[in-house]
Amino acid sequence: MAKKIGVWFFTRLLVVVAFLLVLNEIYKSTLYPRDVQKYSRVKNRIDSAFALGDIIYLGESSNTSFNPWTDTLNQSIGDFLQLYIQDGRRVEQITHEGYHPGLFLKMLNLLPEDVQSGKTVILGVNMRTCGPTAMFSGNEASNQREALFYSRRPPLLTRIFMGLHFYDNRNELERESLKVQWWRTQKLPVPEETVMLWNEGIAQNCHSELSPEIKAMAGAYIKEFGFILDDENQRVSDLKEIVNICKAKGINLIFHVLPPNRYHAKRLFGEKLVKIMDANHDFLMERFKQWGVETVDNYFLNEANEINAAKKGSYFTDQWYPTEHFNAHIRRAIAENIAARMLKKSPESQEFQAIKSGVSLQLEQNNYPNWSIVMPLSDSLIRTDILN
Amino acid sequence: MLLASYFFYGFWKIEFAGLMLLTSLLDWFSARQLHKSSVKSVRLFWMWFAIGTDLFLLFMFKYFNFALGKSWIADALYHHNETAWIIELGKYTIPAGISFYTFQSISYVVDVYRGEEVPENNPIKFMLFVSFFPQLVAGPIERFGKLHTQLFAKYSPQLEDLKNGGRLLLYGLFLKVAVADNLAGVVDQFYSNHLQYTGASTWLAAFMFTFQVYYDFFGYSLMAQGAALLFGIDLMDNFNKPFLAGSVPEFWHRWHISLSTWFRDYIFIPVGGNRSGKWILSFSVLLVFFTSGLWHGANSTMIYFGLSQGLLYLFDRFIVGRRGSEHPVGLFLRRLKTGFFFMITLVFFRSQSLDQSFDVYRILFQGVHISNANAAELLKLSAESQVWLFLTVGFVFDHFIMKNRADKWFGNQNLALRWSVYLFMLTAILLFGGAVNHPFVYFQF
Repeated sequence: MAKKIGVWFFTRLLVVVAFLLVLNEIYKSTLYPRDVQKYSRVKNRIDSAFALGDIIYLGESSNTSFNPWTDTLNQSIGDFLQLYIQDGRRVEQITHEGYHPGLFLKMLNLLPEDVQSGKTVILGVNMRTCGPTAMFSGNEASNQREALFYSRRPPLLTRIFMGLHFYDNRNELERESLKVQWWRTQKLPVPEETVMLWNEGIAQNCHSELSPEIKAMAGAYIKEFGFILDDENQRVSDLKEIVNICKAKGINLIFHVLPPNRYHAKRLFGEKLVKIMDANHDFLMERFKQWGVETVDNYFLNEANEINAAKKGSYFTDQWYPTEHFNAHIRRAIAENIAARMLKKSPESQEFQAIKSGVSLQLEQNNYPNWSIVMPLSDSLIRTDILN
Repeated sequence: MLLASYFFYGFWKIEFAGLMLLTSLLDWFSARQLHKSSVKSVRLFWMWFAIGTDLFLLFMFKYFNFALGKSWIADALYHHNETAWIIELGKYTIPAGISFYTFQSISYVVDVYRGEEVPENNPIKFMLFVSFFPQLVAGPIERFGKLHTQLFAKYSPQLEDLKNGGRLLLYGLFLKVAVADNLAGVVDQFYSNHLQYTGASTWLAAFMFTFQVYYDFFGYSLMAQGAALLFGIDLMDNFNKPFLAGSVPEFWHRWHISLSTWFRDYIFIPVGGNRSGKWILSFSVLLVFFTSGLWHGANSTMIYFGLSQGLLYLFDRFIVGRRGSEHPVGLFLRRLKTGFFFMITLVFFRSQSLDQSFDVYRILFQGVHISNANAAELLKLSAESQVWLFLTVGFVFDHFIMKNRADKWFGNQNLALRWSVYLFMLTAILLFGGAVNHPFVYFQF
């Protein structure tokens, strides 16, 4: 009986394998391009960006987001960077909302070793993506599905993995539970000890004078930035792996650290939350130094600091939630700092000043937050609630 | 097999494997105790002890957020690191298949009480009856007498079982991945923004959800049967062409048969059934459908779903009767009516809240749009051609071509036709499987 079953099984297996080989070829030349277009928007960009560009900017939404009400200059950080890089090198960009080092790592893994040598990759490091809120975001399942296509495996196999959901496809509820677990268990150097207790305190009893909107905003800031980075953090491991891969492939890698909204964090909590954020920043900078990766530190970027913000209004386009979405002032300044490092020039150099003045008129005219036309700005409420 | 079943279940959440173990051991012990005694009160005590603890555990875990989640006990537990995980576990996850294995286990205890089954002496064997992995998470809900005998019969692999098991797995996977998951994409699109769609789109969404839930669950049931058959175990058929039913009572004889018969044997008949007049019958029917609604989930939409089916059952039974059933046209209209009734009540089943259900009903029956959008701004729900193709293929095959179970039908076809269908289904699964993850609808129950 066993022999009979064996023969029966293997003959059918052979037929199926032969069929799959043919199907793979048919799929590759018919439906696969459509699936890439539909389910993995930036897949094709990876090949073209690395083929055409000398400098490849990998960014999440901070690269391109702008405030449609006030920010009439919509150039991305990568676009501004190209303004400064005038030595003939071409800047290409791969931007995807909600992306993080784990997904950029998959992109870089995809690149063949031989053709990449000498190219420069600039990766925006968004500290918030290392925290549980971003790490267990509801968008992650669709991000992971997209990343299935960053692979050299036979296209049919990718389609099978997608159809059978063979990737990290935990649903929002499962991710929510992981977030909550983190918020409950990770100890913070604050009297409330954990994000959970800190947030509960704000929501329930303390600060009863605060408006519900500000309480919600304060809760969001705690949840987004209230974490302690260490070497066990998945994003830190991913960043380290990116450094290793780039070294192995001969790619020049530059990390640039994005500025968080320290201004609002300070307005809401004084030094309490900012200290945690700064400690995480210091941790990352120390690791980057250890790994020997070139880093442009925009964490304390002048344009994003509280002095300017208090004077002119925040340059962060999301006023009610902590994001790294900036108006053109910050995007340009970030690009300038990156370019200065790459070209080994001072931002104060004549050449840079000339470029800056080329866009400054537009910036001055168009890019101050207009307090009267945008949605109510949290800053005005914070001022009412806390400062008065 | 027991280890494989517990590994399969515990792989997802080890804590819930412990819960299943507890249920199994309590019922095994209770059944033995009641069997030992000839005193009715003692026997009753052990039966109700088992049922009570089973339902208590089911209630606490499945209806956690409804029951314990908001209580002071939850608050107290949550503020201690040692116990907080219990609350997080209960709050964010429901033990998969808890309703299925709890009902299966209860049926065993009741059958032993009634003297229809002899209790199993070996707890390991009983644990396997409760946890047998192909049917653990979404049924069919098997009876001890049928499954236990097969599980422990001497077995040597049979080529015919492997063939039939493989056929059922393939066909079930086709129905789930190619038909149901593709329909789910369209339905989700509608329900994520239901007020923005036209009336015609609302009808289309209701229609598509009817077949999504059917092919999702039917597909799973076939795969469960197929997986079990690979081990020589023949599980019961859970569906029998339900959309050919001419009445609501007949529909429930064809839909989720293992649950319907469970309700019949353990609630409907003991309460009075159809032997004690119209009022008792009506009460029994409504009780069954209310319980069935509650079984599906601890929210008002599911209770409305159950009760509306109950009322339609009584309407068909007492008012429509057998009118038109002898004539082909009449029969066709009866089938249409039954399918329509089911489709309409499923709006409760799919909606996230009662408000959403009533919004959908208003659009369906009054053509009233609650959104401020102008008619021209309303969205039109559309489905890609593959969705229609697979739905048509699934329906025609399932309801008209296959006169008996899929594996038998395949076995009777010639090689060329058989393999053409296999390869068609394989292509559909591999190239057109739904891209968005839609867990089996009945996993949540």
